[in-house]
Parts: sequence; structure tokens; C-alpha cells
Amino acid sequence: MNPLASPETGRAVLAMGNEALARGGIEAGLGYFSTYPGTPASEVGTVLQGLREEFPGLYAEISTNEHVAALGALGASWAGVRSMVAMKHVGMNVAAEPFHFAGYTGVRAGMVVVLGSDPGATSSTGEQDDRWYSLHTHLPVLEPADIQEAKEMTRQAFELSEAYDLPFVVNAPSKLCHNIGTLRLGPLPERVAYRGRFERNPERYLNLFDFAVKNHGRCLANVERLRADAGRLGLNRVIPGRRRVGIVCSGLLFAYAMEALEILGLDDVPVLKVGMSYPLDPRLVTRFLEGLDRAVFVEELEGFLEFQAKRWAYDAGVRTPIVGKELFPATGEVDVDRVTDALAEALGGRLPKGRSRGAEALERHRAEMPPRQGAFCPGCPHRATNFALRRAAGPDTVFAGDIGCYTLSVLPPFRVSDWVTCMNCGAGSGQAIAQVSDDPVVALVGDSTFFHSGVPTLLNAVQNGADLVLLILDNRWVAMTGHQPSPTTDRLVDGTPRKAVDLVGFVRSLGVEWVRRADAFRVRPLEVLLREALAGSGVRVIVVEGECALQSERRGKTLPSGEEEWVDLDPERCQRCHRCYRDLACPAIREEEGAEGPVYVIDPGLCQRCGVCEEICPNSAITRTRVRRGRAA
Amino acid sequence: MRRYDILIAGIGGQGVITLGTLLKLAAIRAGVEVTGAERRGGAQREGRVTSHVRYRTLEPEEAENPRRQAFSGLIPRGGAHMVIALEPLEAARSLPLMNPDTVVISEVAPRTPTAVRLGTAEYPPVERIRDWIAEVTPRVCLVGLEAASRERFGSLRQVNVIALGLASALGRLPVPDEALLETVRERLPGFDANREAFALGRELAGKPFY
Repeated sequence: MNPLASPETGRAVLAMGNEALARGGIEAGLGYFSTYPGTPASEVGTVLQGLREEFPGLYAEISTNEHVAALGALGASWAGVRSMVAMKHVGMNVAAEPFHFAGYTGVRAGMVVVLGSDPGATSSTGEQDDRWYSLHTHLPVLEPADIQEAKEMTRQAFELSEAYDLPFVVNAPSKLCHNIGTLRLGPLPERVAYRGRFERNPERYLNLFDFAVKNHGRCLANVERLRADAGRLGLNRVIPGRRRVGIVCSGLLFAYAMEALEILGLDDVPVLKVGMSYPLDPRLVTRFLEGLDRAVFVEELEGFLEFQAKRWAYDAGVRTPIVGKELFPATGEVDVDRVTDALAEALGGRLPKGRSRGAEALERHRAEMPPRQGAFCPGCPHRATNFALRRAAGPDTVFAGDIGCYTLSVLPPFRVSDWVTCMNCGAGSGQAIAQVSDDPVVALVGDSTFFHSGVPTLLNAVQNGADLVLLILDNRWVAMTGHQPSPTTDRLVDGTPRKAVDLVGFVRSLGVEWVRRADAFRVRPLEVLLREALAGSGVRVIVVEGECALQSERRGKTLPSGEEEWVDLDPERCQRCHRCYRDLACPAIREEEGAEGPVYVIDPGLCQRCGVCEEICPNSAITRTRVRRGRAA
Repeated sequence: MRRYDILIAGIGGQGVITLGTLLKLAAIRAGVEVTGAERRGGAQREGRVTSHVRYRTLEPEEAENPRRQAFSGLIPRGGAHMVIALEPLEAARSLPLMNPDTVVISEVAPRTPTAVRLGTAEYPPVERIRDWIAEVTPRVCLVGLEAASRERFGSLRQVNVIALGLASALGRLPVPDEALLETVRERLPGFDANREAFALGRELAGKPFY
């Protein structure tokens, strides 16, 4: 049994931040869950889908996109079922429309929005701080500081959502989502409303004209009611101290600040820990500031708390000097070290001796350390496609990249993506570039991104006669976020068949006349097809098929074929032309020192036997061997 | 408060996350509080992956201290008691977390970054990497985990458990060997080989730091 389903109150289990968020929902009696996977929040969905075994009434879906997921959670709430929707921070942009009226219509059963943010943009195209949305969506924001709080706050958010008639946001940065540690379980609910019933409520749900204006007023009144009650909800907390300089912080930054104070030996600094950063409690903040000579706001990004606090301090006539963004830059992730340095500067206090010696050594030698970039896995269909595209395209080709594993196409040796900004950015802007310029435009899009937001763009390109080559890289999975099924997944890893969209038929139905299907791993025919597409005009779509190698490998382990296969490189025949090693750059092909200088070898532990290197080798130095395994084994 | 912080570093596909999970599950089994952040976003093959493993035990008088409740997942600069690197260059990149007492266990066999493959950068000699680390801590153990696994078990499958054995011998882990081994038994296939691998790790630790 999954420990996250355990009914043992008080039991300590190992949980990821995302799992704690999910368990918080389970403890609150969650009935409906929807998500579009996105790092860092993807595992919330993975866990809840898995927990359907232990909680058979639980509904948990991977939605087509965040907009659909948000509307779904709201619908379930209206039907009286507690709902949760999870997405990464930029998913909020896709779901912004539903979230801007969700506060107007209000909820019936509690609704919680889990937002995985990414300061530092380590796995995103931006580091936007979604908390600012709440200044106009009016959705309250809770900020847990660690794994345990992630669960407690999520559970409490459901109750608050019902009490204040608003969906609540739980904000979890990547360092919390992917923090794994001890989680103490709380009790499971005795009864859960997995089924409900929609009740008509035209004044609220027909959010039009006068009704919309009235709803706006009720939404604001609910926020004010929450703001007034904030003092007794136990979400914000003051840790008293004798010093006249205090700290204001929230979320993970609280955990960093407390550790920084411990490192600096400053155990007497008063700290205001904000658990609910919207609406901010004005009385609490102004009273905390009043008692100080100076306040330090420990915040990353643009400084959401500082912005609000200054407004309330002004209204209250409090003029305590505030430093925040002067100490913490508005860009990049703020980690425990940046907090320690800034607090040492602001409060005085010294780092223990020897603490910086390693950092100094890194600075001395950093220039000699080659950078390490991500690469496509051995056997990845995208590597094969990129190789063929690189060869087929001319120097004037414009490459329209997009979001997915194939975003790695931006890197050497391929460099077949000229921009990456948001979901559907490739074909979206590429079709317009094609309308106003003469260079050929090739757009790349994965199957999941295509269904997420690419379909209207393709239709737009057809309707408006754009000259666009679109490669739909159909690897059958939402691979980058942990292999959630996509609309084209036709077989699960355990072999269970699944109803998949007929992608070629679908594209044709949109009015695309030139549609071809290609095998990603047959790079020569693919290159020929790409040349043909590039020479044509109008919308040309190639559906490049090739399953994610990680998933086919997993299936191979569960369903062994009875065959064994090797790919070997013969150093005698190899002319070291580098085509496999540098142009294809497969990690399974390595350079080793041979008796007469360096040789290339294929690592059998890494090789996925996709056969691409064999096909591209101009010297026939690479061979494939296939044998049937003996029964006696 | 007693802390013990371990950084695990390597590249995507080497099992950094698995090794961190084993060390953390052993803590749950032993009743030790644990946490730690993972860097896994965009962790396709070849990219740097890290797992922070932070153990702590609160003194009785700290149990109600609000300043000690939150448990952050990041090891601060110079705070690692141990660094386990599955690739030498990634050991070097972990320098900021090391201090003069840090125990560093690192695989000796390099994995070539793409830039080196393409001829736009050079991989430093492993002896140089050892010297960089030695500028901070004398307790550097460069070891052929992959070679040892290949030689004894015929594949790379036991690399992580050999590393666990080394860690248990060279560090002062707050979790006992029994908890580590029970976790390995529960989580990884082939316990007989893994028990041997753990012992092999402890044996390798008998050789002095170099």
C-alpha cells in the first residue's frame, strides 16, 4: 500500500513536497482533481492518480491544458465535490480567464489551486511570481515553509475556501515541490463526498452584466472578511525577539531565514512569518513594523509582501524604514546562502570560519570546469529527428521551437530552435514570420503541446494560407514531466491498450492537404521527406513517430520480447568521421583510449538499439546483431 | 540540534535521486528526521542532478522553539558533512558546500560533457580535480565505483550500494547500517549482490584517502 494512503495518524513517511500537497487534499476529503503536468508541480497529479487504487471514489485527471483543468475543478466544486487543480506557475497564464471569474462566482465545495513556482527558472521559460495575480483575481494565497506545512495548509485551505466562498491558492516553489523528507500524517476523513449534485444558482453562475458587477462586490467583501479574520486563523505568526531590527518573510524564505539566523548566531531577531500573503493582514503587519527601528523583508522576485506592507503602513501612518529589494534582487532564486549573506549585512553577524572556503575554491577554478548541458537520452526519437532536420534544412531556415523534451533542440550540436517562450510559441509565431518573410519556417511541436494549445494555431495557419512546415514529434507521452499519457498514447507501459487519437486523420480533418507520417528512427527517409516538405508551399505537416525510449525500455522490461540485440562499432572500419559521436552526439557512444590512440565505443549499458548510428555511419563500421534468447536461460 | 548533511551529485541517469531516496528512507526506518531538496527539473541525460540529504535531531529543549521548527531542504554553503559524487567534475562543482571537515567520496571515471565531445572545452585531469578539492578538505576519497561494480558484478547496477557502504564507513551517518541494508532490501532487486556490494564499499573505505 502507498504510505501516502495510510490511515495511521502521526505516522512518519517519506514524502515529496508535491506528495504532501496531495495528501493534504486527501485528508481534506478531496473528490475531484485535475492538472496539466508541468515542472515543478507534476507529481501532484502522478500521486493522486496513483491513489485512486486506495480511494476508489477519487476522480483524478490529466487535463488537455490548464484552462480546461481550472474550469473542471470549478465545476466539481459547484456540484458540491471538494476539488483541487494543480499546475506550474506559467499554467496560470493559460488558466487566467477562469481564475479571474472564479472569485466572482465563488465556490460551493472547497476548491484549492496548487501552483508550482520556479524562481530561477531552472525548468521553465520564466520565473513569474503568480502571487501578483491575486491583486486582481482576489484568490487568497497560502505559502507553506516546508513539507509538513504544505500538507497542513492545503488541508486547511479547503475549509477556508468554503468559509470565505473563494478558491484558495497554495503556492509551492520548486525547492519545496521537490523537497523530500519526513511527513507526519494526519487523520483521514470519515466520509468523503465523491459524488455531488449541481444546484442552479443563476445570480452567481450567470456571471453577466449586473450579476457580474454584484458578484464583483461580493468577491471583494469576501476578501475583506477574510482580511479582518486573518488574525485568528493561525496562518501568520510573530516570533518575538529583543532586537529593534526585525524580519518579514513567507514560505520557503522563512525556513531559509531561520537557518541563516541560526548560522549567524542571531537568535533574538523578531520575525513575522506570513502564511497568508494575500490578503495580507494589515493590523499584524503595521503593529509588527511599529515596534521596530527597521524591518528587513526577506523575499525573492519582485517583492509581493513589501509592496503590500508599504501600502498598509502608509495608511496607518507607520514610517518604520523598510529594506527589501535593496538587499534581495528581483531576479533569480534566493537560497539560504543569499539570505545568510544579506542578513549578515543588514543585521551584523559573521559566518563561521571555513564556511566559504569551498565557494572560494570554486571561484578560483570555475573557468577550468567545462559546462554540462542536458542531452537527449540514448535512443531518443528527437535526436534522430533533429539530426535529419539539421541535414535537410538550409542556412536560411527559420526554426520555430516549442516546449517539451525537444526544447533541447536549442543546444549544440543541433540548434534547430530559434526561440522558446511559451506553450505553442513555435508554430504560433512561426506562421506569422512565414506570412511576412520569404525564408522557410519549420516548426517543432510535441504531441502533448500540440493538443494543449497547438490545434487552434494549426487551424489558423490553414485558414489563412501560411507557408509552414510543422513537425509533430509524436513520442506518445508527456515525457518531460514524468511520462503522463498523452492523447496519442496507444499502449501503457504494462501493455494495456489505450484509445489514442488518430493524429494524421485529425490533422487532415483540419484541412491540411499535405500530411505525411514518418518513422523518427529511419533518418534517411525522414531527411528525404523533410527536403520534399521544405520545397513545397502551404501548410505541410509531418507526424514524426517514435516512442519515448525510456518508456519503450520500461515496457521491454515488463514484456520481454525473447530477443537480444547489440549494436557494435568496429574500430578497424571506423574512420573517426565523428558523425555518430559529434553530429548525432548519442551519450551511448563514448571515446576511449585504444592501443593506437582514441577510439569510439558503444556502451552496451546505455545503448537502446535504436539503430540510428548504424544507419548514418558512412563506413559501415556499426552493425546490429539480433539473436533469439535460448530457452535454457 | 545535531545535523548531518550529505550532498549527492552526478548527472542524469546515474541514480543520484535513487541514492538520496535510500538514505532518506533509512532515516524514516531509524526514526531520524530527514529532508532535502532535489534538483531534477530538466534532468534529462547528462545534465547535473543533485540530491540534498539532511538529517537532524532536535534537543528536547528545542522541541517547542518556533525558531527550530521549519526544516529547509538546502544545505547551506560550507555545510556538508559529506559529498558523494558519482562523477568527478560534479564533485568539483559541489565545492561550495564543502568545509575543511567534509568527507568527499567521488567516482574517478569521468563522463564527457557535450562541450568536450564537440571539442569546444577540455575535461581537466582527475588529479587536478582532486587537488582543487584538497584545497578545502583533506578527506577526499577518489574511487573507481564503476570499475569495482563492473569487476565484481559484471554491470554498473551495484554502483550506488557500493557508494552507500563507503559512506557508512567514512562518515558518521546518524542511521545505522541495518536501516540502510533493510532499505536496500526493500527497494532494490537482487539483495544478495547488494549486500556484497555494501560490504565491498566498506572494504574500499579501508584504503586511505588519496
